[in-house]
Amino acid sequence: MENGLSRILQSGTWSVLISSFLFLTACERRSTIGFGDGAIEGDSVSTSLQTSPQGRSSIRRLNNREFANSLTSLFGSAPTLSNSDLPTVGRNSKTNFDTDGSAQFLFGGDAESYLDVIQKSVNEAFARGLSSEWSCSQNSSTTISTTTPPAHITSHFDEDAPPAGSENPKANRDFLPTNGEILLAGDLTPHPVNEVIVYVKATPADGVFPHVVVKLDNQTIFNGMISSLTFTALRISLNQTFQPQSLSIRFDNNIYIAANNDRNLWVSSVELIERNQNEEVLSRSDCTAKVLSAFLKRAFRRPLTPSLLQKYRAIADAESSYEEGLKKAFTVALLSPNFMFIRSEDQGTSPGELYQLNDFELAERLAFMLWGSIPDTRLLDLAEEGRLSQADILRSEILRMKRDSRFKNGFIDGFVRSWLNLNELESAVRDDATLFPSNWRELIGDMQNETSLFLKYIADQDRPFNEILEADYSFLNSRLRTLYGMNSSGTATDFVKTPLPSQERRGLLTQASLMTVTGNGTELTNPIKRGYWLLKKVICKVPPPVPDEIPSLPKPGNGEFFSPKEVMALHSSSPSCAGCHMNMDPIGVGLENFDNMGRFRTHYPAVYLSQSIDASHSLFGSEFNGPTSLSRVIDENQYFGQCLTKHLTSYGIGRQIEEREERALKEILQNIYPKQSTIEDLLVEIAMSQLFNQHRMPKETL
Amino acid sequence: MSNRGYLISRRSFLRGAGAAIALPSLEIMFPPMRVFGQSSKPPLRLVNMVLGDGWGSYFSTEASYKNIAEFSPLLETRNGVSIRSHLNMIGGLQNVVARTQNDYRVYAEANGPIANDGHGVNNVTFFSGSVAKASGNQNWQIAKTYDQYIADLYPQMRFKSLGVNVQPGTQAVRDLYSQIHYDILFWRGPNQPTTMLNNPRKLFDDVFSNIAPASPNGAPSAGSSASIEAWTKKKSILDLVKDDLASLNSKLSSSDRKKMDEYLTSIRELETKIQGIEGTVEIPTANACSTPNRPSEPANYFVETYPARFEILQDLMVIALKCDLTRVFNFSVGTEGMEMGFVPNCKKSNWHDISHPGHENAPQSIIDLDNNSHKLITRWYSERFRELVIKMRNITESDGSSLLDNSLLVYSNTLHHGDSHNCHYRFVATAGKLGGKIKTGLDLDFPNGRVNYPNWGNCRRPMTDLWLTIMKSFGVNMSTFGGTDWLMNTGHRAIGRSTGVIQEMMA
Repeated sequence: MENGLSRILQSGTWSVLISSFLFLTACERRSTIGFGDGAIEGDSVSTSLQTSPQGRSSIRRLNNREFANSLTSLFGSAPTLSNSDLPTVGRNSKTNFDTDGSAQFLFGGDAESYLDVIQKSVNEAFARGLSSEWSCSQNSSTTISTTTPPAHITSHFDEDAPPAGSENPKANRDFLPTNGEILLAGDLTPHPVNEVIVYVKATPADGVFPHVVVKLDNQTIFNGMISSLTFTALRISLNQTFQPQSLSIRFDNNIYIAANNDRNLWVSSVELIERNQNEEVLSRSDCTAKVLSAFLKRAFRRPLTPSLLQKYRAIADAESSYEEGLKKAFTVALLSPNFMFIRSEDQGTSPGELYQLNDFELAERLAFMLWGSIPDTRLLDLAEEGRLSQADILRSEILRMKRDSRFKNGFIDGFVRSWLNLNELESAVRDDATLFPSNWRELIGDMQNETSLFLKYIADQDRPFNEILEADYSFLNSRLRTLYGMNSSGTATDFVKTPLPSQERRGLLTQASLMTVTGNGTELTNPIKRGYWLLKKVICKVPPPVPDEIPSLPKPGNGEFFSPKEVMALHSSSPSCAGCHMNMDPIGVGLENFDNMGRFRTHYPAVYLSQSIDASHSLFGSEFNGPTSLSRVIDENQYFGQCLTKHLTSYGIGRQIEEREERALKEILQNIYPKQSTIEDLLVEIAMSQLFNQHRMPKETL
Repeated sequence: MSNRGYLISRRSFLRGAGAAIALPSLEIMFPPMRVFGQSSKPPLRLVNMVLGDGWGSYFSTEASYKNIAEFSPLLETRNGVSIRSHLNMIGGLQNVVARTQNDYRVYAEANGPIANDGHGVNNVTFFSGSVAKASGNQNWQIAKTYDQYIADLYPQMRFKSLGVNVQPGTQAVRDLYSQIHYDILFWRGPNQPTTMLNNPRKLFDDVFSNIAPASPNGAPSAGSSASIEAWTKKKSILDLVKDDLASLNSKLSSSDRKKMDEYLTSIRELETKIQGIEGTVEIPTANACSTPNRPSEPANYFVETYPARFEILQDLMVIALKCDLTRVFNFSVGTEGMEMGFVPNCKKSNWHDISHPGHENAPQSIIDLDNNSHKLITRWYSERFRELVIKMRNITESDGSSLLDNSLLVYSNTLHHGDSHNCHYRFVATAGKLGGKIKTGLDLDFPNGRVNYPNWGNCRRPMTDLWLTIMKSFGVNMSTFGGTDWLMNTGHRAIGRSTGVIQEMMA
């Protein structure tokens, strides 16, 4: 209240409180998505859907993330894609979720981009060797990826490490940049083995290719050069049958001369086969039918009609060879809308009618929400048996899916990154040593990691989800500890669960990622923008758009200016501002202790005359002072749980939740809130809700 | 120079007046485009180079372009080179329909659909002259923009039009619009955005790849038949996919079917393109044309890599026009509400913030910084336009005229005064004579009062008069452009409609 402001407020502006109260009503009415009140109404929920019609998710294309994941799921290995290979799909900026199809667009050249990527992926998959799932053979076969346990690289026993920066010294599991050995140990297969296929590629140096020794249970079964520049199958026939305990692949003639003259080895997977000597030989046409019926069922995630199978068989049979036939049929299938679109085939009879998704559609929705990918065979089998929608099975399947490694893609890469705009960190920061630390490029990656690891931990460890706001720990590396003004111990690569300074930080809201994405990119943070953003993301009380006529507020006198807190006091003094700003502003004030990159501060920068920061305010009737007590106030008012549910549901069903559906949302919460519920509980309740497992017929007829 | 990729002898390219493009190149024999009539006159081309967020906010809201010193790169003589005689400086046009869009916002809010904002109203109206209709949540239907009427004159081109958006925006504060309505200014029709690329490698691959290399003696190469085979294979796949679309469509409601139809359209367009390639490649050609080597995968958007990236994109555009792969090229360098933009030496990168200098009551030092930053932006892009004009002037066509002579380049900004968001005054520079159809060297600054709308009073000459002038010069058969027919009963339908061609420009 120093400077110019006190003068203005002297002139009888204390009627402010009353007028802002009156304007709240108008503002709330215009608000399209807020929860009407904080309390959960327990009664009359069961009839709510009859009185409040449910929205409708429109048909949509797979987004680029799902498209790539689905190809990975079908072919066992990710397609090699660069940023520009896939078209811009377009996302609705209201929800910001890539699962929301309402703002998907198609440009002229998109079909060509898809076709190019699909052709390339199919060719790569055949070059690497199709997974046994799409094999016609009746032989027993076990495929072990070398990129996941139990494989591990035992050593890089040769220490002729290349010059720093020239190669990643830490090898990926499937990449040997220097001499070393990949070891697969333990009981490898449930069956005996008389043939081994290793999928490898290599780069030569000095004209010499990598030399490799493959051993099965310490017996050398291959000793020679690998000379394929693309992934290829190294087939090793054995003259005896093993029940192997271990398999090792050793690369022993590494040399590094220059970046483009560097001998390296890649190994993607190993297939252990028991070739049945008496196998009945199927005809080409029967083999094609067998493979296609399995492949199309997965790719289309639907039961296959005989006529559709017949069509694809004909496509394959018309080609010159079995392999060419499958390639063509796979390519057509992947460009087909049966693969490319997520849809519900309207099963109702009358316009606007609500009906239950069938089990296949439920499997599809679950898989794209939790994994960002097509359903696996088990989900489809359950759907075929009509059992997936049974409550106990649905619950146990969600638990299984949550424990699967693909959950990270659905939950973190799909949901969290869009919910919290983590992909936009880069555009919030730039090269300006006066504003940002010089290592900001590393730091924004660190921040994304921190938030991802934190939320992954909450989900994996079944922590109550209000810990998202109230956790007294986070996952930090040395750079972030420095940024947070803590002891910068540890390394930049290891993110360690670390206690937070109790007076400064607590939970998600105080993480550098959020504070940077809302940091305004200048030395003047903008608490209004920050408050608005958090209202939208964490509290779901979104003010309406800025009005056409913005009343002019008093300007500071010459040589004076208003601090953020003073500008906000002006908002509450103006009736037409107060209605919307009364929630937006306090949140921003409570976080003023964080600068444009989430560093803690107690004073404003010099342009604000180094004034001390006053981060006290009140929200929803509770006083707070600073970020940690702000987080507490938000948590206690239960808005966060509601808001998280709303965003997660919106992500899962691929559309914005409408105002009239709030009762249905509250129904999701009534079984778990305010107990100490976990993300898992939330996912189960969402999946069982009518919003998730029902679909509405369009108003118009077919 | 390493991040400059292929542009090793760029200087000889810039210097080589009268010479063919001298980029080190993969010699490529283009399949000939079908020739119209027997005329040897070079084809006409259109280039739109457009910015957003206004030219600045350091001048008064309706200041004439003559008061804006940052346009000096267009006017100055340097080392004996002036481009002034190739230009028209045109001020005092009005994007009057933006105001209708704003009014419609109020109308629409009352009726359900979501609102518009101060930037969106300019984006969606500027090149279409029509109010965009909101249909459901965020789905804004932008009318066909003027450039696409011109593109339609040349259906046989390998690309009816091409587009670049050098720095697509971010979505941080975009609540009211889908991102696409900010990033894409040029539309084939509602829900049909034109493709705007920002990746030089992707642009190269889309435009210059799949064209068979010529053999050393210049005859069509043997390689072309393999390439044709690959295309034929693609086409057979498309036929089979269309079957699936048809059988699925019968099970969908009409609203869902629309999405499926868009997919089908995309597939059909690829088919048309393949048919074009199959039909033309065997014919020998005299129209040899060189393309650059494939650019490297670009680094991120950083200040230090931005000028090189910009230049590669601009050069690829010039080559595509020179080689007659398209007749219409749209080049956005940042659109309304930009959250992130780059200009060398510019201290601030949030263009939108800069265009509202010193918002949130910042001290004078911040206001000055913002204004000076905006001056840098306007000057930098005016320099780039100057370079583009010189590059195109230095390319000689088959009849001895220059590429510039046969083109019309339009340099515009969807706003004028960045802070006020108003629709009143607009400035546009054009360059080139369009094959003798457009006069150059003009200074036009239209006064207020050209039209008078009920309830609104006097307005300036609508933007659509310029678009109509350009369309007619290309030979589009239209007597008016713009206006919003579906606003039948609101009294707004005529607003923004052209009032006549700009006679001063017509040769």
